[in-house]
Amino acid sequence: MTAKTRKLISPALRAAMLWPHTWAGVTLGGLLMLIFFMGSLAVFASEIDRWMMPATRVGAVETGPASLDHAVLPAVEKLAAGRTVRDWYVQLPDERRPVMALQLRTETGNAGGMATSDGQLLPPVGTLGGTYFFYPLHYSLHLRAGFIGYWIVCFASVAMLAGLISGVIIHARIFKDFFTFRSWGQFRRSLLDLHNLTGVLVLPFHLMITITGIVIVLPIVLPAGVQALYGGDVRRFYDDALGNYSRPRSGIAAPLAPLDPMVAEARRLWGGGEPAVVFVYNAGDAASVVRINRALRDRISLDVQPVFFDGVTGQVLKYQRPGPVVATHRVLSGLHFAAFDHWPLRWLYLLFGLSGCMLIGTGMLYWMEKRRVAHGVKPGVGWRSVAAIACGSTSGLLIATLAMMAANRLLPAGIPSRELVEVGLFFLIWIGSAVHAAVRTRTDPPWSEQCTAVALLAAACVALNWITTGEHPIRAVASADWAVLGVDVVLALTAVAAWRVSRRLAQRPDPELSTLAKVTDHA
Amino acid sequence: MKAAGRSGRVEGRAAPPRLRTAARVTAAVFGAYGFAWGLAAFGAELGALAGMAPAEAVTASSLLALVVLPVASLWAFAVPRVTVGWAVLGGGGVLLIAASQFAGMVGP
Amino acid sequence: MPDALMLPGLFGLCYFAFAALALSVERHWRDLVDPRRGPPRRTVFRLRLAALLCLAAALSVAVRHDGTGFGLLLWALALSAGALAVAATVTWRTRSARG
Repeated sequence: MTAKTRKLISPALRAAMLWPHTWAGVTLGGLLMLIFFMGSLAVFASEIDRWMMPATRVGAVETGPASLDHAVLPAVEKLAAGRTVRDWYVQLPDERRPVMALQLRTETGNAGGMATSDGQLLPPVGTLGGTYFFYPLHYSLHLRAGFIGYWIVCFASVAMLAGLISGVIIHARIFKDFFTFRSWGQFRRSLLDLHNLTGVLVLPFHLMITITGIVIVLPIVLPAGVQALYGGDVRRFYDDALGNYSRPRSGIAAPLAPLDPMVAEARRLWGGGEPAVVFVYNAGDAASVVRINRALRDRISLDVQPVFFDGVTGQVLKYQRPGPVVATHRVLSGLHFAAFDHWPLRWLYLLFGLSGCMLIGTGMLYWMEKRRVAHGVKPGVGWRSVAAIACGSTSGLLIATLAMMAANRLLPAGIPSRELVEVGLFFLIWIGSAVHAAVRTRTDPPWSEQCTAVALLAAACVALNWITTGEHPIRAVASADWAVLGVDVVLALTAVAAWRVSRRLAQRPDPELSTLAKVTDHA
Repeated sequence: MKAAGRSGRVEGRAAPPRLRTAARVTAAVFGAYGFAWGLAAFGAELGALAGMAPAEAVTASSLLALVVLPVASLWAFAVPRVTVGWAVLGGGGVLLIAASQFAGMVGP
Repeated sequence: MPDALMLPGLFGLCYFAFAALALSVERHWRDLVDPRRGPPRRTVFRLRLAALLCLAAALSVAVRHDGTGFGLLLWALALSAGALAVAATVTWRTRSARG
């Protein structure tokens, strides 16, 4: 640290930053843990989908369907089952999802399904899986009305950013302690070392992922500019910025032009590349619009380069490239999305996402250990609530996630609204584990019991996948099913780690208050 | 409670600590957001006046405001007097929004 | 450089860079090399120079293999991974040195 920066960060500033850092962490730590953990899972959402949707384990496909008109349109007809379709879209198969995913909006409600790349509809998957449950939980908490979930997540994210910045200011000896983790001696010091280590060494990733996360939905959570220049019409802003296009139904029936020439034209405009998503708006109408998005696997930017066609004539309606600032915005968004095919980066994102969980968790634990001294034998309501939230948002969240995956393998295929039963179980078990944490917190939350539950559930998931689908690790290797194998291996590692932690915790004596009293508390 | 205690000494014994803490937190949350809002709105209008495409101006000013937002939020805790914090963030936000309205009327 | 060597090379270079930096910190030098005195100034300079060269080499490996965008991102994240690995090594070595 140079003399100049040392002068810039005065002891007064450092002291002033401690309060917001501490209380932002204590109050929002549980929510941030949920966001970081689900975000880490979302990096491998497709792989979790394969695990939770055994019907879609159809083996890797090299390319998408040879003909959209022959493969996709009949599947849409079948899913519509006689109802009039208003809009529909299909996500074409790729390396990570070997099936097509179709979504329809009909006059009487929505319908969706998956089909193989030659257009054969698969039986309903009966689960939301990683892509439709864990991933939306990460960015919207499944609170869609009025974007309220976006607002909550972004509020927590700004607090995270402020926490990262204030953390760097508070940390007195960043470079001297750069590599320091004293795993021996006082527990509190080990916790603080770990908190500093994950905070400082992974700081570039944490800053990047938090900022870019907000950047994606910036026009929604900070619509000041949209308010000023677009009269508050976010849709018109997106049309302008991203080159989107929409028009109302005309009410006059007209057939859809062939899709395959449109795909060929889109490829020509892109100068290569693969189509990823095909949307048909106002289907069967004279004002129908076809939108084709480009696959993102070979680039960081989230610019999907949409090409819009007239659905009746097949002529290009709009293909607009973004300006330099919007293009920058797309690159920043893409850094967060990690939609690219780059396995080393994907694993690093998972690892560092989990290191974010560690940063938040060790922060909450450190606060608990520090306050323990002030509370003595009988911790107060405040301390116990934070302890319960810390436990419920770490081991409790793991228990809920694993229980949902186990339920996914145990619930029979035919039961009505199967996916909602899974989701209900997730939330019930999560609430249950939080209540368990709150009730059982004496001098410590019930870490050991919950870690045992995590270990048993994770092991059960691996066993259940084997029993219910017949897919064991050796078969997964033989059939090159790396997605399912990867999920199973991570589950097995989780089981082993959680078991070892629970054993060690069970052997640990209760914190002795006589030694605690000796610890000088500088709060 | 270091920050609250320290600012308490600077501000004297006029307001109870809970109220001062509440003033800090609301300044950090709402004051900073209002300031960022003003910055994004004014920046967008300014960019449009300078000839940027509207979508470009909106995106650029919003990105800038996002970077300023957490810093402004923390500054609300660092500034010795919370009244100064509120005056700069709240007042600055109102001024910037007013300026953006004015720029909107002047511009095309 | 062959594809298979890219990742080990990249992470190895990052690891060595941070290992050199860790040794230039007085606390770790005393714990791991010489408990009686800190690292001589010449050694500190050499260690830092070596770290800088390793980091530059890692960047060139990443950008050459993956292009500018992906290369820069991979390099930036590999830095954190290397630093975490060095911190783990320092903890492990110091712990065993303390007995």
